[in-house]
Amino acid sequence: MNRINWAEIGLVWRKEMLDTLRDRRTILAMIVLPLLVYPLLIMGISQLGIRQVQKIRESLAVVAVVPEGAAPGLVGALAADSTISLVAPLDPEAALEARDIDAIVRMPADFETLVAEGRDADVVIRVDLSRDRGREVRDRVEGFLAEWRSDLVSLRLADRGLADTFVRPFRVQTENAAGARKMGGSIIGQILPMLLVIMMMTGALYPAIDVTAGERERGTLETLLVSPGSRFSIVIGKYLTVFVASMVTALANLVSMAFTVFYLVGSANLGGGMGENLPSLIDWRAFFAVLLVMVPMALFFCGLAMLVASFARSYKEAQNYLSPLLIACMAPTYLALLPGFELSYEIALIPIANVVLLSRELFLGNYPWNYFAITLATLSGLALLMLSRTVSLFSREAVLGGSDSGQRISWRALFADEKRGRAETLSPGMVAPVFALVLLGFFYIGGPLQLADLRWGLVVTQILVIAGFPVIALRVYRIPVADTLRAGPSRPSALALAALLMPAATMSAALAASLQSRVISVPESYRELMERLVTVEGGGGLVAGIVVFAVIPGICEEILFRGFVLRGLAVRMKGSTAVIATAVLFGAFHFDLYRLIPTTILGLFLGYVALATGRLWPAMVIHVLNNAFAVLATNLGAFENVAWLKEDGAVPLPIILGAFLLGGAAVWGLRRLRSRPPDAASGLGKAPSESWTVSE
Amino acid sequence: MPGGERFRAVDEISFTASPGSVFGLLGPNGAGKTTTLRILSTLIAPTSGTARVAGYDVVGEPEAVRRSIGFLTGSTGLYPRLTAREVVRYFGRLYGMPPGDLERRLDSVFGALDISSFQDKRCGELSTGMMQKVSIARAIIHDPPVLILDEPTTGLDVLASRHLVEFIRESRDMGKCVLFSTHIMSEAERLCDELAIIHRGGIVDTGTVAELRERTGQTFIEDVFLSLLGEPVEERP
Repeated sequence: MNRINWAEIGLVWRKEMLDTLRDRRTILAMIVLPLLVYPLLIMGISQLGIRQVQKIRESLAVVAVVPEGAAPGLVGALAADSTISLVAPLDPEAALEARDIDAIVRMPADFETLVAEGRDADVVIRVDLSRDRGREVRDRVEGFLAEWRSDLVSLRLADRGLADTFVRPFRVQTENAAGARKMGGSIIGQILPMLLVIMMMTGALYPAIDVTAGERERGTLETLLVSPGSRFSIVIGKYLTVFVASMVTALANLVSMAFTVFYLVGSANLGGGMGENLPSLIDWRAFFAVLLVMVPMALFFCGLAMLVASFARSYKEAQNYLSPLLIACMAPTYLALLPGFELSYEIALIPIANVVLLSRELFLGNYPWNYFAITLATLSGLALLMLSRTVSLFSREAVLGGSDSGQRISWRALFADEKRGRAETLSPGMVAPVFALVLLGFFYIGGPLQLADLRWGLVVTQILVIAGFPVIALRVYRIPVADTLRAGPSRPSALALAALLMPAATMSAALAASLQSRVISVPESYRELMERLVTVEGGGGLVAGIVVFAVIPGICEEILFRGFVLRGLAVRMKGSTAVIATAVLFGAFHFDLYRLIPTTILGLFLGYVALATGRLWPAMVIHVLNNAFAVLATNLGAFENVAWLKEDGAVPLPIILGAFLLGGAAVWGLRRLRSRPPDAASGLGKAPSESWTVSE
Repeated sequence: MPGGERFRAVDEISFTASPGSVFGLLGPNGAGKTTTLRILSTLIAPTSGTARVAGYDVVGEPEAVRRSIGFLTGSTGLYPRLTAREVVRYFGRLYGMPPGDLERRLDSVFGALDISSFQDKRCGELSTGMMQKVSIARAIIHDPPVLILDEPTTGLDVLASRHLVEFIRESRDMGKCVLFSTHIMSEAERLCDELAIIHRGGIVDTGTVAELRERTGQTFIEDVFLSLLGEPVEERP
């Protein structure tokens, strides 16, 4: 890997391209499908839609006036309208229900007298608004009545010798500063970049699997790796193939979209009489610029997809890994659709979201090259990182796979009542489904409970689902619960050190939150909601609040995360990797974009403590103290006037330094604690022998 | 696997195989044959110790080792969407053969292995026997001095197995050093000049078939094997 051997990369690339192009499925997904999908789907459906609307517009609105004989003047005019047909069914309500008529117009029997005397008269249009036809008829009748009324007003004004401006002193008009081209761009820019990004990711998936997991499944990977071709050349050659495939997919999609847009705009305006300047409605150059923006996107996603697929042993397994990855990568595209998100230097750092927002700018006719440079740098940097991981993966025996030691959880096993002699141990293969079950329980059991009663719902969800599910799973598999979760007694010194570390943990999370708020500003209403959530009334309420929001979540969430998830992942991962993965899950678990990063950082501290002490209790101490601090800060009168505890308040430097000084001391203490020989007498077992790198 | 559970597959294995001979690794499934051959092919780095293949160190000079070996296993695959000639050409190029030489070598190897008639068919359409021939061509396209064959007859029918056995003999006669693993006694007995019996990650005994017979006092190769493994040998009439 000392020198880049372009000839070798080219050799691998040519072979992979040939292989890919001979695959009918790839060609179908890459070129044929995109060229067919939009024209057929969008144009076909929109045509049908337009026809349906026209059909409704052209048909007569069937209207009954009640009571019969009321307001002969108005009814006469109504009957004269060519788009409305008046009928007099025996039971108008039943007729409306049976869809024999579209609307009932109800007015007072003495409508004309009331109007003549200048008293209030109510006309009610009764329609079924759940039907498209109902809405259309409402508009038609309302339009008719409004016109009739304004004619009446004009007549009255004329009688008194007043001008129309007497009742309408001035007019209000909106002028659109965006030209027609910009408006077109904003509509296209709203949807098209998102679709394009999703489609090109889909296009990269199949080749990415084919050149990695596919090669392994076919048994060709071993022979490839036993050849003297450098791993670097092999990975780069493959990567370029996936890159070309995804760019071709992007191009095919873009061409098809441009054509569809052109056609749609054309057909929508056929009746409008502005047919000549149609093409000028859209800045067609934007399509070429967008293709350029897709380059960093492809660089990034192809690297990611290949890295993930390299872990899989077969096509199926790779698909199982990549489908959730694809969904996760779609999330930032929706982020870009949320109102208020515009391209900024910070957002240009967020993969995928930056590409979508950048494309939107291009369609609006802006060419922000500075943001393009940041996007390109960010995404290619990430791509390089992932490529180097893939190369090192290819250099190790790991890619050859081998025996599948992953444990599978099955429903039958979960409900089996026969005694199983086999002593199972916790593994990542068990963590994944149990974590998924916890999520399901959280939504489907916890959700309704919390709606019924917030506090009790929280308590029950925490104990039953968050702590309960992992414990039940361990019991079902006959895995010793306390040992696995490291819930045995902890040294008092470890607990004290954990408490000492808490200010640093809480402060780090708070600092992350304040850094983050510069990128994504938290709306005021959200802050109030969060504060109200933990606000408790009265003195007795404070204790209850601490129990509900600090003690119970602190214990239960630690059982799930630092107990079950962390220990399960650590079986197959390095300790530090497992801590990071657990922290990210912990952050994501709070289902709150604003809290994702701060909570993840808190999770890093909790994971570190759990591994460093080999016990669960110290992590619980930090978690409980952290939450209790939040409850106290919002509720205790004594804290009312401490400025830096407010959401906006800048924390004074001495306090930050103090927190980290304490934290440093705690880390030092934890290291010393670990280096001491295990204390057999106190029954601490192998806790201190646990280390960061060696998993058990 | 990153940080996965560790398992000692082979421990303290030591043997020497010489050019112009067939060296067999005989052992039951899971004995460590594949691991040994993968270490020699540089697919796995040994946790400790090293080996020399064709004079190169597997840990220090992996690329030179890879250039010197032809590697073939019973589960070796081919690219189903490429033709036989394209596959072998691809590997020849990966071994750094100049295009002119490569085409001449392709013609001669394909001629010798009877591949020429189906060389432009896609590998996905070939029969198992045909695929085995293409795999052999792939393994020897760069004319390596050492051949490493890991249970190469797995999944082959009688005819294809015989082709392979012939190929191994011919390679030996051409002065190649052939390393070959199997769990089939008769294959080992027929082919190997020298044998190493592997069991539970270690070598139990090494020698020619005759030497092993003498040492164990058994006539049948199965019995030689069983008695070396310390299993009871069935009385034969």
